Amino acid sequence: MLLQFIINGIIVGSIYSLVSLGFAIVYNTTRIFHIAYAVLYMFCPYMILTFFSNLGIPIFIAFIIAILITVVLSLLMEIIIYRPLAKKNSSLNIIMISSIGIMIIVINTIALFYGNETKILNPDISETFSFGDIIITYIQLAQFVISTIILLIFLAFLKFSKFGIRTRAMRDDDILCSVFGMDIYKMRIILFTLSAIFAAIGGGLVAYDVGMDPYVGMPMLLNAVVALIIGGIGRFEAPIIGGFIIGILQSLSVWAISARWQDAVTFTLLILFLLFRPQGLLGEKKRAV
Amino acid sequence: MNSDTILIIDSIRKSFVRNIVNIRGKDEDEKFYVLEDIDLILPAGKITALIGGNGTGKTTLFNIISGFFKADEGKIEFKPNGSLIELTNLSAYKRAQLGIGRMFQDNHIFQNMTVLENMLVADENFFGERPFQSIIYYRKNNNVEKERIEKAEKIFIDLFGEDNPFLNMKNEKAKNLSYGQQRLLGLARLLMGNYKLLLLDEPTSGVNPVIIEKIKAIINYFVENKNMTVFLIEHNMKFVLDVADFCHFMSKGIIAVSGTPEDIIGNPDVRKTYLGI
Repeated sequence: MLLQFIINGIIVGSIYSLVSLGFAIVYNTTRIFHIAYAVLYMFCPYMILTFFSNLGIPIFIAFIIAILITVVLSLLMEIIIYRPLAKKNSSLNIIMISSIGIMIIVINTIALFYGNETKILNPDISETFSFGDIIITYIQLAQFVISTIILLIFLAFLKFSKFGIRTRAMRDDDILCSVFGMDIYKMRIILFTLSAIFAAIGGGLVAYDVGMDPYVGMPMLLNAVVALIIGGIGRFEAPIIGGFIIGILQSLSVWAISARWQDAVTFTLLILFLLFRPQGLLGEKKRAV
Repeated sequence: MNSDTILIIDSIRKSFVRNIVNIRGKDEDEKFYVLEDIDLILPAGKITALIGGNGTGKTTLFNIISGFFKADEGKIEFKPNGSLIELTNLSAYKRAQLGIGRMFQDNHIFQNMTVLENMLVADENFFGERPFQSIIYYRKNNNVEKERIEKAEKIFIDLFGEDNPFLNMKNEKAKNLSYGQQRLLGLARLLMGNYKLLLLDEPTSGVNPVIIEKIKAIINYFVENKNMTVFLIEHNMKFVLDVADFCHFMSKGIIAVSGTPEDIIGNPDVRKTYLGI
């Protein structure tokens, strides 16, 4: 029984890792606390709903179209809101508040067109298979395999491609990047695209399993941020480790206490980290100034 | 205009808005000009110093030249190789690609990257080349990258000799270097690019006398061996006397006095308002 919960935790953790990494890609490089990221996670399932359930396009193609539309939404946020604010040297707080604004607008628009109630993408009960005592549904397997593959591919690119060194340079000092001739706004297009893809895939995979309503984004964002802080802000491997820790811990709290305690356990862990290891697991202590 | 001119700054004005309490005790935004009217011509292949009190707008002028601020009025023209290029509407990264290098007053380095990576990203065109394809570009196993590493190591040897801390620490994170070493790395890095004009903002602030001597040697190396032009802001007058060919004294938003460093130091206005002697 315990093993079943740990496996469930790893599967949920892989989704947390993916979504948290998408948030970290933007946060670590641009320092934007991209709250509107939450709606990207929620937006993709609604697009799948439109193309798959309403228009009858096969699920795989509908998923890809939905991801592309989510990317467009993410780029619109960057081009219409964040970029002009950054060019005006607006403070990060102002950018964050505008991000909350975007989130509210998109949530209300989705609620207007699709309604507030929970929607289901897959009305059938998903098939399962079992290893001994452990039972896994096929959609859970898909969640784990797809997220893990994407995480591994991203880490490989970060390590071996020139994109990786650019991203790390931008994380350290974006002004310096432009002094050396890098068009940071072009780079931001790539970063916002990647982050939207990660949110969309995470959102789509979860919604196919449990359905969605217009408000699913925010709790997921909070988990993603906690994963990022626990892992260590600034490192791209960090949200992945943080995501798995939270996933397993939440699953164990369901096993040991009750499902209602999941969030309490997550945020207790956050507070413990902020008090005793604020730099996170992988972060390095900052030198005192 | 002389044929060996590299930068022409023509009637630059720049204002900021500041909040004041007016005569009736109310808050009020007031526009004031940091740069009233700056005209300046930089001769190519020389070292020109810019001096002046704190808050007179020296760094603002550097920010306008390198594209981080937009001037209210006036224009800047750059002449890297014979033809004049108007810079006024170009963004910072394009100016960098044209050949304007910049070093900041506080050490801007890529803290979490290695010493060697700090050099590599400064290479000419590193950031400029193929921005979108960079995602599928395997970086370690190609000749361009190998040449870059050799170039970086040669720069370290040329500047600091065979046995130097930068070569020994090339695979360590740059934040482990001391403040003075970070400053030297910032200067050495400028040799990776194909820069024609370097803007150095107070290169000697906060470092010890031995490093100041090294900085002096590096700046002379830029001009003599690499044919670069150097424009620097400096408060250390001894340093200015030692390295600079020309000097401009900025006061109240204009270039008040220009000449050789010796002329400037001898000027009674400068002695009274800036040097305090």
